[in-house]
Amino acid sequence: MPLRSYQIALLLALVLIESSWGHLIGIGGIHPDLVLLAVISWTALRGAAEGWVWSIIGGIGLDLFSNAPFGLSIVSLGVICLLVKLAHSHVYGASFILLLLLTFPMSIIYYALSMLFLTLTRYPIDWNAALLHIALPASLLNVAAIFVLFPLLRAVHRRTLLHVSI
Amino acid sequence: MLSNPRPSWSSYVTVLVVLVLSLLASQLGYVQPLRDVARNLFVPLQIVMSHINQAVERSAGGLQDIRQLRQRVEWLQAEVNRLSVENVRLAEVEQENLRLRQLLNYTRNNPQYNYRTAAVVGQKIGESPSNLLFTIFIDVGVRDGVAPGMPVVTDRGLVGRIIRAGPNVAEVLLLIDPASAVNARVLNSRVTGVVRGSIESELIMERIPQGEVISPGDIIVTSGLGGVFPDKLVIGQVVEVSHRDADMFQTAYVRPAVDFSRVETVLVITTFKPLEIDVSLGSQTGGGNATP
Repeated sequence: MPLRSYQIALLLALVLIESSWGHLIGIGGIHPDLVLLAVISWTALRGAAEGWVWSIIGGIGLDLFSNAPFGLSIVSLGVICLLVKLAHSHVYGASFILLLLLTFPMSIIYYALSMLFLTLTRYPIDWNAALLHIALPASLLNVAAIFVLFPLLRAVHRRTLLHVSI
Repeated sequence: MLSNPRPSWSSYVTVLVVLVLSLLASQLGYVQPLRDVARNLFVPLQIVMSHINQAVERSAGGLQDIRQLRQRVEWLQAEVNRLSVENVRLAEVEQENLRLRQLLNYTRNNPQYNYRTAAVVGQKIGESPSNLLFTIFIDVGVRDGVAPGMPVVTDRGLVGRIIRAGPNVAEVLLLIDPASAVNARVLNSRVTGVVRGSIESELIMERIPQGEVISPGDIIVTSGLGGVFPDKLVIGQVVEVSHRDADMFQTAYVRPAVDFSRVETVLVITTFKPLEIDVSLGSQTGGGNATP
């Protein structure tokens, strides 16, 4: 499972887009979680092993650009990777529809985990307000964003698979 | 879909142990140098992306209103036909000039502080990738005299304060962040309280004593108490007041003077020395930014 340079570049680009263009690609101050969506998609496409690596690389990127405790995003994304793998392994013929159905609950879980870590590190967070005003709209936005991101990642997946087989 | 071999549970456990250790290291402050290096490394990329972002935002400014958008598109099409590339460039320069002139007026009206600003410094180049945290990155750092704790303002009012400063980049904790708390008072009546951020990007003024008169429309400014912020920096305007006889304090909802979604150029008050500079995430609970 070698981590290829294009994967690091891709994840880095997603982190930078979230950091620099977050308000441009979002609605009402909330933007889609591109790295989370990438981890969900890549785990579905390539399995838990590569998804795990993506969650670590993506999580490091997010944590470096965030004020949150280091490791928060890595752990949250890692858990999501495992959950996506579990969901996939129990459903025959995993497809985009399944991924679409998974995106919303996975986003909610991702936010719940992030909020849990923030609470544990004594960050003042109002759970009700955060779930209602941040997690819920962001999860809906993630569902919309997966329509764009997943086909792109699937194209990358197919192209790189072809490259490997040659 | 591929069926790759599953990584063993021991690898998961190893990674989790490493993560727990990294969390501990983060809490103890050992990760910060790594963050500084990474952030400084990507400053040029963020600046380029920020410039592209501003260009896109300028051209799509009227998207919120379809009518305005249509009129604007027609107008823009006419403009594109008439104006040369040079004129477009001049228009951008004029906008920038206006913004800087507003900032200059602000500094003239507040000569007691040494402001550090220019078109190329104090520019927002990024923000926290998390929807739960409200921080921005600006392209000035220790080399420009910026240090943690320094207040950040625009011509409209207070933006927040520097929480971390690298050589070329600084992170600003915005007023609307739930971890932010500022000692404040009503401009005219001098009623005091603490303005906190909230997850809904609103400002809430708490600890206003019962019996004090505070009304919608009142201007809220920093009180300077505690020495964390200088006094008389505009925070916002009261839009609603909530008070119940059973409570010890009243609560006021404040509309921020600064539009945080449109912050581009900021001023860092470099001469102000805050009394409390420990603004790490863990120490912000219960008004770490303020000393109520």
